[in-house]
Amino acid sequence: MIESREPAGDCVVTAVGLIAPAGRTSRGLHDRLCRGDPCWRPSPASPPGGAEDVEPAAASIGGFNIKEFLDRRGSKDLSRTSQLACAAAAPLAGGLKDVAPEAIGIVLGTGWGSLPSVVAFEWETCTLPVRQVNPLLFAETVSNAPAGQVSIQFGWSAFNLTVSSGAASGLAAIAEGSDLLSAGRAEVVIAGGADAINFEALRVLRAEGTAASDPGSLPFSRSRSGLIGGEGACLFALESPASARARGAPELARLRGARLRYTPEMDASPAGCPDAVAALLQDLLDGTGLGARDIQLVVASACGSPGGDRAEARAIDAVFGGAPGQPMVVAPKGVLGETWGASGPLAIAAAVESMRARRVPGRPRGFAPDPELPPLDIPSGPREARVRNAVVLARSGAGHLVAVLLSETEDRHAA
Amino acid sequence: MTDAIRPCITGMGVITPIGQDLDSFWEALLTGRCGSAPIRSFDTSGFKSGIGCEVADYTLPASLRPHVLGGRCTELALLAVTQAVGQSGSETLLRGSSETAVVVGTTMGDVTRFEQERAAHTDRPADERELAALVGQPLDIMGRSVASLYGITGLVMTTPTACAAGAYAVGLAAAMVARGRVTQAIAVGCEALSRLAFAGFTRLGAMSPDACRPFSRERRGLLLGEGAAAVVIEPDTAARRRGAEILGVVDGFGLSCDAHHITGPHPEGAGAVAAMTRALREGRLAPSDVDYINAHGTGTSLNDKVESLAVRRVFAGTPGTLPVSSIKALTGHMMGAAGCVEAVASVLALRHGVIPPTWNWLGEDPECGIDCVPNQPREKPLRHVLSNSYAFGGNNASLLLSAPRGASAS
Repeated sequence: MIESREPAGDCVVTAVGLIAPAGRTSRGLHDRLCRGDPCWRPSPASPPGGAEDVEPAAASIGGFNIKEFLDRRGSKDLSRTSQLACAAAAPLAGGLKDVAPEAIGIVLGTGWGSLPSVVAFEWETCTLPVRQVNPLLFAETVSNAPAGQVSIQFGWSAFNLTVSSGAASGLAAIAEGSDLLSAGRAEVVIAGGADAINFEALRVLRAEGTAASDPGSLPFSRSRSGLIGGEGACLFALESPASARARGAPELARLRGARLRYTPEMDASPAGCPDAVAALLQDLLDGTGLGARDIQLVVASACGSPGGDRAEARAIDAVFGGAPGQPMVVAPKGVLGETWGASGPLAIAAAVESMRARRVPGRPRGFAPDPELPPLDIPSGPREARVRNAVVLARSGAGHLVAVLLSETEDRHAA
Repeated sequence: MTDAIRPCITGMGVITPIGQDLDSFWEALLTGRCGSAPIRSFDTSGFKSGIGCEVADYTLPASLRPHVLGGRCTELALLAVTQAVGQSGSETLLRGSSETAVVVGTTMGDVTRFEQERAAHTDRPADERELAALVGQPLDIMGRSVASLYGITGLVMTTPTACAAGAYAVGLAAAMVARGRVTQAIAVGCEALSRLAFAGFTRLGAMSPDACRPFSRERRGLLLGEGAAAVVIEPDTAARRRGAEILGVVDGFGLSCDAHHITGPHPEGAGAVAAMTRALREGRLAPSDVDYINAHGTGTSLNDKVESLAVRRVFAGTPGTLPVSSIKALTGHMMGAAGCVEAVASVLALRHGVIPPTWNWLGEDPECGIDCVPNQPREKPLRHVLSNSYAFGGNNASLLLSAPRGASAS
């Protein structure tokens, strides 16, 4: 029999592990979002050679040391993406000691894969005889290395999947993870995403106008001029409600549905295809049997892209706007920057914590509304509110679209 | 896979070092035409050996060129996809479809343009222009190119799961069809030979200086290759309704992870055993139902030994000997393409009732202890074939491929 037309059936989130410039816990992340304090610093003053000679503004995780998370020898040879993924997985391991490792699967999303390792290894092959290049660096050029390193560290072996769909990678990983769970391929699925700061990519993206020229660029803001790079990792433990209850694991949120689509036109269209995004959101609602008025929070994917943010705002407005009771809209990238593979999972973490805390983050500092965008309800500051249902959206500039619907659970406030 | 929706393969395409369509590929597998030659696509002067398995001159139709968003890897992927879609006769169904998935497996992605840009400037780190050739062709570029070709607006997924990626693509695509998430899927495995991979495998000591000899005594390692394969997968009921020929059925998809070492296999083959066992369980078959295994069989000492051990463990109670062969002696290790190409080879074996042999075999390695069908094709009626793929990161995948009901080998 056909079990489901789309991924994400009856599935609950029972644990969150994350590391980001904004914090190392969901509460820390949420606090930072509520403060509205962006995690990046402006670029240093331009040298005489011009702005192109300085690193783009970016939100990196200061003082990160993998040895705080892993005691394994050789962890220094892991790429930064692998290190971040392992750091995010570490807090989950403690809560899974009653689950057999061979019953735990991993799905990791990464936008850039191992691009920094590819660049580093290529240069090493240019400067050293082949017999002297670092074989472990080569291993890290393969984009499934972060997920593989997580499995090695924690012994989780039911399956190990890596997916890559640009900035939608992490949310796509969660959608696929929920599907693999409901197909019975694991008892618990660790799903989420990771990407390390990637100045090679940011320099190229700045040159082509995708990354911001101004560190004051904020999602949905009048002054937006592109994305600000970031980094992070965020993983969730997903399992069936029955499994969670049997283990006594906290049910932090229910993952009720997910939709994945691709819009080839988005790559080339300055308008960013609002109709495709709106259709995805409507399809998600229809599939879960909820209406627009049932949603209290939309966590947007907006990254400061002039066209992409406009399309997203129009899509949200088309599906949810136009009447009292429209959902609040939060754009975490205004504080976190664009963390690619981690961005969708971090957005879910923000939604889950907003449900728990009954407090929704507001605008980032420096935000100025864009009068040309539809009037979304972006709270001017943190707002006390109960969030029963939240939609989390991820879209890549190249056209990958993923939307996930989360609901609070009965023991939502027990934790 | 569920009974109600059996995911069927209705179209296949290959572009490999030994054949650029199904017929020439199959003929090469049976006659032992090897794809190895001195590498032409990059300078190998700094390496001990300069042999690899490249796809010889191929022609990219003008109609495909606007859809090639990437480089050589994308071109190979599109060539394989157009063959598969052509054979399935499903182009009108795919075009503009929001109910179609494109699932692509790759290891290195499309890095060849970056390498070409860098070739003349190895005395300095990559500059912004050269980096743009890498940043502008991220891992999902092949899938987006396939979607562009047919205007597909469904799910486009890239699974960069290293050398098992092609099998992951087939298995995930089949699962999407079986679970009713999409009405059809295109699975692709693709890889272009890269200097990066060549350097890496050389450093790991995995490369053979002469030939790839899977499961043989005196085997000395793998040869790297390149290529692409694609399959079109749809529910059997839909395929029969539209009169499409069902070439094979994906009856099981077993996944596991070694959780042991980033580049080496588990010494007891635990992950490989789990993947094969899960594929059989999903297909509701016993080990004795399997007629042939298309092995990962890279030709390295350790990998072949461990895979043999895993096969012996899973099939220990099976009467008689189970044929196990590897086509990598001819194709080289096509990395992200390998699992999909080998799935195609497995379906061709099912259809023809002939097992492609393990070529270049010099004699038995007592540490392997399997029937590797040495150097000579073997006729045998086949109903069920397992195709194994293993990878860095400990990723393991086994596909259980079956002949369609009522089919008899031609």
